[in-house]
Amino acid sequence: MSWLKPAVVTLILLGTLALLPLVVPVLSPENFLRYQAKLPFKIQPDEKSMLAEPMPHYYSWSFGWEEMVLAVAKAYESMPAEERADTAIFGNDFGAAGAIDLIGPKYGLPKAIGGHQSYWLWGPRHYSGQTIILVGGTP
Amino acid sequence: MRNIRASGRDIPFTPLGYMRAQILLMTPVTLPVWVLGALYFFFRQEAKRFRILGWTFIGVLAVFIVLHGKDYYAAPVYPMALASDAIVIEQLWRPNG
Repeated sequence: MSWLKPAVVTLILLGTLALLPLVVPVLSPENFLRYQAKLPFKIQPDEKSMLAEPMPHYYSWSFGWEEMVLAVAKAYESMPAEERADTAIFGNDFGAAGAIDLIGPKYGLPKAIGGHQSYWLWGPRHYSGQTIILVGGTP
Repeated sequence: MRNIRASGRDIPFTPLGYMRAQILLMTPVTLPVWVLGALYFFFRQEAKRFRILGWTFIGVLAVFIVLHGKDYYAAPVYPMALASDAIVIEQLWRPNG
């Protein structure tokens, strides 16, 4: 049975390589769609929002953040300056809040606030809560 | 998890669907590795001391099937089955060693 160990390692490496695009976004979106169509099984959606999307979240959620942040920046800029100073940008989930924090600075946006999972650790920052721009979801 | 259920965000897995997702999560080629690893805790005399790990393995999967967890919630349970299967493979590799 001396072949067993190298055989197990080889098999696991090959199997991992074959399914790597399912867990790590190594393919371009176009190539992933082609890959997905060739899979001998279907990826079972585990969230309802996946039903309307052609790709699993770890691919589909890499789109649209720039546009979203830009829309927030427009809303933010349209506010009177004195009100803007006390306007919090509330990200309804960590995706929205994270996008504001990551992309927001180049549009002059302050850090977001949010309550999703451990995002609450950052607290309400210095805002009074008088004015809030809500990003994602309904109030 | 109660809040997630209340929000209606998820499409809950059936028990079979959950196990199917587990196989995919671990990549299918490793199926014999972790299944044998889990069985090792129950069927080997020298593993008797560690049988609780086998029950933990089954218990964690059962909890997430019943409570409708996501597939990856069960991920941390696999290293111990991989570790015990390493013993199985080692014993097959060196039957007398």
